[in-house]
Amino acid sequence: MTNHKMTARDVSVYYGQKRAIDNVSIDVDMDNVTAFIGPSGCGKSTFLRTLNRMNDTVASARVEGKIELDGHDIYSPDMDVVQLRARVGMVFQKPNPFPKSIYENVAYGPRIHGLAGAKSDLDQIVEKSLRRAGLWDEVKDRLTDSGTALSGGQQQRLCIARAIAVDPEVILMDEPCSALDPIATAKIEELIHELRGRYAIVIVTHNMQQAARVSQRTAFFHLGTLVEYGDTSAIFTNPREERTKDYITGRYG
Amino acid sequence: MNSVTPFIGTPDATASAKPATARVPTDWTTKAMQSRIRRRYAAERRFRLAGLAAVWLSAGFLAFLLSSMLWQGASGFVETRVALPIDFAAAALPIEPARLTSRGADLALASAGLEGAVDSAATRAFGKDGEGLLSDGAWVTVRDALKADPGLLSRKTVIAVPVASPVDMAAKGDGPPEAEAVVARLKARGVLTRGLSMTFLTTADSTDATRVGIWGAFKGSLLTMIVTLLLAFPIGVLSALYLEEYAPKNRWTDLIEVSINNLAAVPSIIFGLLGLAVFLGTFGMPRSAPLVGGLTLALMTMPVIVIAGRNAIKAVPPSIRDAALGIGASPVQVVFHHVLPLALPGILTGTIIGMARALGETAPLLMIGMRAFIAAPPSGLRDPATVLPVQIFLWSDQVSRGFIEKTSAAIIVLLVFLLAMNGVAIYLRNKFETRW
Amino acid sequence: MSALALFFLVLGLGLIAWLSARMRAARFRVGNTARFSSLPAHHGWYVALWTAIPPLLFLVGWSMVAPALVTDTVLASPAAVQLPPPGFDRASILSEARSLAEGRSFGAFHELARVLSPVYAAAQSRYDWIATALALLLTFAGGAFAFLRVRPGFGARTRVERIVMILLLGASLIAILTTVGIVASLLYESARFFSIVPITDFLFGTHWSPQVVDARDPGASLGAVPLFWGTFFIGAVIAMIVAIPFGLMSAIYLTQYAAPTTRKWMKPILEVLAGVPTVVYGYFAALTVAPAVRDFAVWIGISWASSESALAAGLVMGIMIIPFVSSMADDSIAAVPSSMRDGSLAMGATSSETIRRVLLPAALPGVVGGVLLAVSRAIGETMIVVMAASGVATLTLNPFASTTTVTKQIVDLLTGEAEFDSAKTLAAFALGLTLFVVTLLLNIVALTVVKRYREAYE
Repeated sequence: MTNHKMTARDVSVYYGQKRAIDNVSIDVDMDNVTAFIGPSGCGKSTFLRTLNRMNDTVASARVEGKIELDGHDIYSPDMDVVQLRARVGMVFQKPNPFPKSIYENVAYGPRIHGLAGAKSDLDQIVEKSLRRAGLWDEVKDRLTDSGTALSGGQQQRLCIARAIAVDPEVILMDEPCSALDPIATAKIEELIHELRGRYAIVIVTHNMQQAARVSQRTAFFHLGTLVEYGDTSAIFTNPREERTKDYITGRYG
Repeated sequence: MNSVTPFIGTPDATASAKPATARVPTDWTTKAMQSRIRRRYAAERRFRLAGLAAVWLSAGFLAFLLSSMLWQGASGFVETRVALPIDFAAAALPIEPARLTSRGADLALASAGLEGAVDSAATRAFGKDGEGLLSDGAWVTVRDALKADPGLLSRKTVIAVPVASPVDMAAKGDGPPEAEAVVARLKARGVLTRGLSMTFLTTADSTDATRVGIWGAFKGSLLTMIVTLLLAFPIGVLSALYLEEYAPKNRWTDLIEVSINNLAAVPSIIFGLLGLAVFLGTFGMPRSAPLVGGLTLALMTMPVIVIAGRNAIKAVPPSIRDAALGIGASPVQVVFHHVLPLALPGILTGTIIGMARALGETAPLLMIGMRAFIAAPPSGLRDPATVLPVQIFLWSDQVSRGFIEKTSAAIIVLLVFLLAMNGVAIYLRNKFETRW
Repeated sequence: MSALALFFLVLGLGLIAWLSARMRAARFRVGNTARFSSLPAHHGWYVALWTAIPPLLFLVGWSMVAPALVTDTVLASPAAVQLPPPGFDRASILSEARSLAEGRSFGAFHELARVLSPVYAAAQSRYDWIATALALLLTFAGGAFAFLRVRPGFGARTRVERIVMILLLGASLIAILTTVGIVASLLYESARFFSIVPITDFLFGTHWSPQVVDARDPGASLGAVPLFWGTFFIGAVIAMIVAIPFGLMSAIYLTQYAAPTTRKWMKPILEVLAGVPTVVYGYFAALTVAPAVRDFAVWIGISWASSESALAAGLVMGIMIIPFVSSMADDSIAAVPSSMRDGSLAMGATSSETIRRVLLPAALPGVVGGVLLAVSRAIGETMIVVMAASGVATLTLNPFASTTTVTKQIVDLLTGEAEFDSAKTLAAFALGLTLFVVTLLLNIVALTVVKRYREAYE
């Protein structure tokens, strides 16, 4: 495969003295949805946050190894973290719309990055992003309502629309459905299908069925190490490692 | 859920429904985009710098305030003395040496004309202006020297006595021109010395800058604070216990809570008006007395203690109450045996902070008349008195130049006490702070 | 007998009561294995409280009425007819007579004081004896009553606890009492003021010069609008222009940018600014800032600039308020969920963009509430304006001109040698009432805003 959008090689993450991630190497493809699974505390979220340097906000965090986006080291000094995060968007565990209107939530990114010249361009971006996030029909008549007034599932789709609006190349999703009900979850999963191919998507989940449903590649993390990484079907039907098997069959986690 | 088909067994990664080329990625490398990002980073730096500047300027104000007080006030603790040769044998004061050791010595010396003797000694030593060189309190220094050594009465001796305020100022480098000339002359004769002014530490207010002292105001503050503490602490702690542990949820309780929260935010001068109208007007208590000052400040401090106390009590985990109740302790026992001891450090911290605020408070005390000129330290709670901050206020109004350093010196004393109190509060908080 | 000695005597008797009741209760236990509801100490406390509390309450009440009773007796004496009519002279003669009677001074200015002092001493000692006798009577009656009730089955603990509860309740009622006292005294004196000066003249009049009050039309020179304006101008405009940017930016820097150690040190240092007594700020304002401001004004060409300008007082007041604004802003920003910050950063916003466009708008209600509280504190601040602002009331927008404030006028009106009943002194209470109402409203609004804001993120 040469279509690797992001590659991570021998990545270790430390919080102070404590090593949270140990020597993880992984590739993220443009065409696939990649799922990170594993028991809670296994480091999958930590690793996800290294991919757009959100770990920079934690003072004690330190990253070793190499992570490249399109062959460019994202931790090199000449990489601009602001641009990086615009190219590698993120959706969080709990929906976190800003306490602004729906429109302003989506327009926020294009505004700060200067992606829209005129108001009409901005309108267009907002509409397109909301359409892609499958939210347009639900909110098109109340774009000036506060984003926090939406339901949980709608809020999360708004956050996805917000991430899409800055035209990212990769979207990182950190357990995006863990705070949602099953129907909202189904909508988000549907959305992930829609978005596949347009963006490289990485999703962290502790729900194995979800990983099986939405992803093509799956990485199993345990205690900060990458145990197994391969095609989702292979991992779920025929895991190579004993630990993966134990986890998938529900022995622990 | 049926719209979502499980993906197990369909690893057709390449058979994506949408072609990957459908999107045109944002080009971040264009010149416009790059310069935009540079501008954003510049804005970021400016914003951060503004924040840093705000912090440093605020700290700078504080540093400037404190250092200017120190700068002006340090000399207030020092007095300039001139060596005054005085011949008691020649002056022949009509007094027997034996009386100098008796209790009436001060009165006896004063009526024996000691002050005149000192003045004429000054005239002899320093010419016809010599008398004006000395502080009005110079003869008191001589008196104390005589009392310490009655044998001096029959001898000639040299005593270092404090100089008058303009000369003192000039010796410290900031006096009127004529005094500067005098100082230059005296310096040439080598009779000027400097020393810690005991007068400043041991006396009360005066009209002469060289004779003022802070002891009177300090004692007034002490008495006032005792009254405040004795009233505000028990009432505050008991209210906090009641509100936090026993109060039923009803209108009365709400009313008490609202009252306390509002009292904590009422301007201090309003408490002064209350003291004036109620304590002085209705109850006819004495004006300017530490008793009334303490009462007024207690009403002001109590809400602070209640609020701090409630927070400290709230921080005691319910499991401790449950444990005590579980072995059959009554609600009162639970609180007085378990909750109160555990909350005490927090309550004490709040109390000290409240007391520090009361110690620095001026406005309400002006209202109840504590701004009078009080030349003697108070000896009881009903005596007229003044307190440190009010003394500072009174001295700051004086036109005489010598008062500037005295005012700043009094401020230093006040700040030292406040700093010490806050230090104790921080120490208590750190030492006893428990994370449950 | 002096009040203090009596106080300690009562306490001593209480201690004796405690010991004896405890001993008596302990004796019931000897050779008895039954379970008691109360420990001996509870019996001790029960009796001790019954012994000490009634006379102490009596003494507190007595000390409030006794001076008046003594004075009345003296005034009723034949010698008192020579006293001048009520006023400063009369008060000073009486107080002199009292201090002579109490042996605190030995000489008197007024001949009359010397005459009255024996009368004073006699009245004083008579009432003292009455007080002592009544107090001791109460002590023994209460003690005996309680002591006789000490029995094995007597539930002393529940009684003691009930007394403790009453004490607790009583203590918390003091807060209400204080509030009532404030409101009542302000209302009462203000009502007297408004019976002399029409309330409309006071609230809407634009001329304030209490030095010359025309007895026929006192309202003409007691119009408080210039004071309200001056207070607003100094406390809510100039002080806030200093305090809001400095306080807000410090809070932002310390919460968002500073290293934890910097924050740990700088925060308490900034809080020292709030702990400096206001009289020190006032002195600083009058001695250092005001001349500097005046020099600056002259330098930029305003030759008539006042040396007691609104700007000097406002600037220093603003500095004093910085930590207040800063800690309120700090709390409000900290209350914004960190997920918002992460959400914005994850889209490639810089820190300052995140702060300005997400955190601050989200924290705005809290910040506004904090600013309102800061304004309420600033307009109630007294010493800075007393020492640095002028006493001349002018309606001006010029910060270099002299302006006065409500608090400054309260102090000025009440510290002269005026009589207590004149329109001038009563005006101080009307100003106090206005100040009280305004700060109360500001606080209520601010606290409601802040509370709503907190709840929104909980």
